[in-house]
Amino acid sequence: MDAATIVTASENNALIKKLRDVLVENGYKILGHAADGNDCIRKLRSLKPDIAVLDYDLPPQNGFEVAKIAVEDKLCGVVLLASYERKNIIDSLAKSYDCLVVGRPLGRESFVAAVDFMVKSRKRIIELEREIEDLKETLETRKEIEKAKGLLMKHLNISEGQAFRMIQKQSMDKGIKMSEIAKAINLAYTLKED
Amino acid sequence: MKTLSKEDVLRIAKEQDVKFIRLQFTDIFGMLKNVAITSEQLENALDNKCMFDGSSIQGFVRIEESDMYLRPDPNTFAIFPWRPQTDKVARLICDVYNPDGTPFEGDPRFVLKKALKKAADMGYDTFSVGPECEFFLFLTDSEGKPTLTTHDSAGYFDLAPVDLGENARREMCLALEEMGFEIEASHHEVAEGQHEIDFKYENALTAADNIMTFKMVVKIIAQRNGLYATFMPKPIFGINGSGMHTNVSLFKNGKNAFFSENGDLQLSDDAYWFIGGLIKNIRAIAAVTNPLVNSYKRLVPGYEAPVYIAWSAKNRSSLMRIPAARGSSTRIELRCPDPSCNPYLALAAILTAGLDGIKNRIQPPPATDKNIFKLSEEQRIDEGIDSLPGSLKEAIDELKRSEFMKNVLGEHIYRKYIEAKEKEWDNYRTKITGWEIDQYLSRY
Repeated sequence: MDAATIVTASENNALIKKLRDVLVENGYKILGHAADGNDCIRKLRSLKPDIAVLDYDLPPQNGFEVAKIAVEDKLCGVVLLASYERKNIIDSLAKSYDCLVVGRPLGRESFVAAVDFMVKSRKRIIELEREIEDLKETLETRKEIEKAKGLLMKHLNISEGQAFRMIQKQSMDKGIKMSEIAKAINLAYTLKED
Repeated sequence: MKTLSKEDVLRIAKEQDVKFIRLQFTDIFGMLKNVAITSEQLENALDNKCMFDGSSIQGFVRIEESDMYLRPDPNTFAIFPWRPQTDKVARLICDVYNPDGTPFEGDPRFVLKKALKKAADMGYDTFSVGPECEFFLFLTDSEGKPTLTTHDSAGYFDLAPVDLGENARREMCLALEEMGFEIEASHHEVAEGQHEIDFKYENALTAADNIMTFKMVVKIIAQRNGLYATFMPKPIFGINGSGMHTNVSLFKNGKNAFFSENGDLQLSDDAYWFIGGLIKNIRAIAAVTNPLVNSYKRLVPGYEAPVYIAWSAKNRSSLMRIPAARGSSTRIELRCPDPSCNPYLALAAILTAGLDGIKNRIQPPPATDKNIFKLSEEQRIDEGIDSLPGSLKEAIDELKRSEFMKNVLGEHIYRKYIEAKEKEWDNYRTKITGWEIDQYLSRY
């Protein structure tokens, strides 16, 4: 398995050095580091890491604002580091965001565990999203084909099997997806009926 | 164009689980303002019961007459496509009304509506506008302030370096499309970090609304990309500035009124007179289409921006160009406006100037197909080619002399606008610029 990739962001150099050492020791690949929020957004978009490790103190916005954009635009998974007092507030705000808030001062173990968890869940989310996309497309295709079949059966007075075969044959002959053929049939009959 | 009723808006807001609604309007200087309400207040707002303090808006009213009402236009309902995870936010563009129920004459949208009414009275049912907005994307520094550093070094239409700007621009297009825009083209411009997005022509009111929405979306998406988008007309000396070329056409009974099968260049009398009206009034209109001190640093020779008042069907450097398309796409491209202008006022002025030309049958001078920038000053004078104002000061002076513009803008905006722009000029005039320090400090 390829090493998961990470971009870090903090203006605290000492903290970042420590974090990076820990991450590298645990087999992660550091793609880059940002010292401010805007630089961080730019790096997330251009380096496309799996995970961002963000410090809450990240001017000019703060780490949570950056995390929101990263999650909303599906740029990467986010582990946000914040003091314990702040963690409580963010946790309540971040309910609907899948970003993980880790309290500072942080233990080595719990930090690595958090990053590991985020990497795994990120992979899982991507898989699930892809599955949903596929299912949506299948459903859409099926709807179009069902409708086209119905129209062909009605207008050409043929059986369901024949109608399906007709669509399938057109699709194979022309090298066009069945859903596209079905869409064309549906459109043609709609125009005719108007 | 969509036609939504009050009920449609309420239904969609509910279905889509919209939590907040921004009631937007534009001040006379082209700044987008908004009043945020919650979805519970939406029905009230759609019943035109939403009030705000007009005296807080620059150039609106004095404190003692400050209550104003917002009347949302249901057709402008759109849900912001960003922030999909949290509570959804939508917007409605509003007209501004006085407490007595009359339209507020300081509302730029009302000024444009008045101009459109004038066109309708003359039999022109549609004034179509297709804008081409240019802007720069700059990097922001660690304090979040825009810098003058661009992140890329691509040139016009360059495809190769897929950079941050490129990605940001793609996202802008997607967001705009989700808000109902039809994007016609989007490309890198001549200058470094400069981009252009063109959207489909629309009737003038929708086009002006779209320009305001466009500027907002571009700025927000840029920010979400760690970039800063600016519509400042000329941010950097020595490279092209940002313009907003404006393609306009008039329609009568659904037919393009600028097209005539047998006309010279296949243009109708209306088209020629429209050009004539624009040429006659353009020096006074400039204060509105090019409203900033900085606007006039774009209108200089050498950067594809127009300087001289002329028109042509061929020459791309002229102030007005007739693109090759004919038939229902026949149009005039006015090349001076820049994206810092108030689109409502600018379009109202352009339209009314054209109508003035049609009404008074003003013949334009012959087309100038030569490269005007290569003509000597004597040749230009011989051919009767005047130039656009050279500074905001010159433009304001023209505006002050123009009865025509006073009619277009209405007494209220005309007065407030001149007042504010004179102040702006005076502020600029008395400042010591970096150029002066560079040139003089060590020499004298």
